[in-house]
Amino acid sequence: MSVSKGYGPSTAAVRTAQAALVVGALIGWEAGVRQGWLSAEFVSRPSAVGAVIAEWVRGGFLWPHLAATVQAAMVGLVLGLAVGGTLGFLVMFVPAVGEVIEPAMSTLNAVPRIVFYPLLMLWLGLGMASKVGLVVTIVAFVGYFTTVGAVREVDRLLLAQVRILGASPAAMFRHLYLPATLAWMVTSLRMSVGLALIGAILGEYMGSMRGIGNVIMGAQNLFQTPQVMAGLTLTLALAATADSILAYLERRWSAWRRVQQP
Amino acid sequence: MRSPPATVEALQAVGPPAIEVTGLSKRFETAVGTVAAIESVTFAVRPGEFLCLVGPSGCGKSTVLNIIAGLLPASGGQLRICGNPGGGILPDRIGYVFQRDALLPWKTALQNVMLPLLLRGVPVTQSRQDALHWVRKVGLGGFENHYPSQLSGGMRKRISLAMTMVYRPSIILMDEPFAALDVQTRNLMENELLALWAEAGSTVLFVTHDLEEAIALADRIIVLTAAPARIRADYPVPLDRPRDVAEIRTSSGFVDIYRRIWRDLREEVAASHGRR
Repeated sequence: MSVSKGYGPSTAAVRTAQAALVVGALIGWEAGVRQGWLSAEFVSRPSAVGAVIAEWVRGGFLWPHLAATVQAAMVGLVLGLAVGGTLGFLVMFVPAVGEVIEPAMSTLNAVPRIVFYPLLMLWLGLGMASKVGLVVTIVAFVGYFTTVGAVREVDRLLLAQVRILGASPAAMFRHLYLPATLAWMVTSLRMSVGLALIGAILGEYMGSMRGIGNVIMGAQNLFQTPQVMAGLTLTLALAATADSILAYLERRWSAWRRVQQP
Repeated sequence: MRSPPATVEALQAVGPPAIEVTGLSKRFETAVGTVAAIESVTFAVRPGEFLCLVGPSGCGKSTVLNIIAGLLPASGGQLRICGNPGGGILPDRIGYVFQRDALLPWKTALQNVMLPLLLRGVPVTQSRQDALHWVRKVGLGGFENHYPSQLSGGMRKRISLAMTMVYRPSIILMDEPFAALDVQTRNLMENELLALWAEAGSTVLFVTHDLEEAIALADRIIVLTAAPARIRADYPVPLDRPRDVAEIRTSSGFVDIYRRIWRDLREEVAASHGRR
């Protein structure tokens, strides 16, 4: 789309400028190292990093690691939102649960979740399960607070309307509380996926068998800067891909929010 | 469909009032103490009647409606709906059109209108068919797959009406439903409401602070006092039907009634302002 909106620059112009910035930075980086202004030992070179990635892709070294990270992040994301969401609904609709759990959740949210990782490793081992567990402990809080907020903010008028129309408590949940919560979840999904990636890679840094974080840590131990940089680049690409997929899904799933008056 | 005058007379002869409130009162506990919103309000609405409650803004008209709808408990007095003790939500009897649109934003126009049918256990195909019929009936054929955010204020109000009419409640409560619309849209909607009401034969209790609107629509008008609401006067509106709400305003009968009722209402509006 190259239609300009308002008086700002057109989308095409913005894209071109962004691409120019990236290419410029890469050329500057490469040239800086070749001229000796930057140390290749510390920052490597784009061409070397590119060569490493190409080698990983060709040799098939990359795929199990990439798959492990993506799997840990996605499974943890879905599980975490489900666990947090369920907990949120319980707190809001079962007063006894609410009084017990609500203060605990606020306190736990202030604790850096990484402190649980050694314990998770003891319980779940050095594999996928402990990484998923770490992601769940992070994302579940987003799911929980999103749900509590959404239920609390439900429009009183809609509540009155649905009651007048004859909704049972189950129907109110299905037609009012659940969609209202999912709407907020969709909005917070892009934030959640970032947190899920943090959780997965943090888990891999701390100790794991596989994953992009594992590759980066391994390369760092051997002082292989190009490999470290290649891992970072792949993480960046992964995050960007996840974010654009979610941006697309968010647009699709919240079509009802967009005002399209003729 | 039965014609409304026959319905009104037939039901009047046999049945109890559609709505009957006796000595209704409501007090709210606030930070500054107990505030009386309604004080011993007694009135009855005949089946098939179109009754308007008018009164100064903030006098407690909406509170009366909310108690009748079962959304608020009364502090005292009695409420009977079609002869039965009321006070709870009676979804098969009562419909409520609110001032603000109460459409579910994540459902399309059609899905909103289908909701009350689905909640009554009507099968999906049947619900869709009936809802589509009503969407077309309120003049929004072709817009059934639009979301509320994609509709204008007047269109949303039509969908709200369809959402209430689709399950054929015998009593429809309306709380200044057209207050937010521009004058032309408002007149159109008022005429459509009268046509739908005449066809459905339901009882309407309509709250407004706009006396002209009340006279144009109602069979009978009850004037409420400034807060706490009490009944100040009860006027029949002997104007012929069918009416055109825009044209009827210039008829001599309309002007007469307006003068008489305004004498009562003016004092209450003044009282309500003097207090602020």
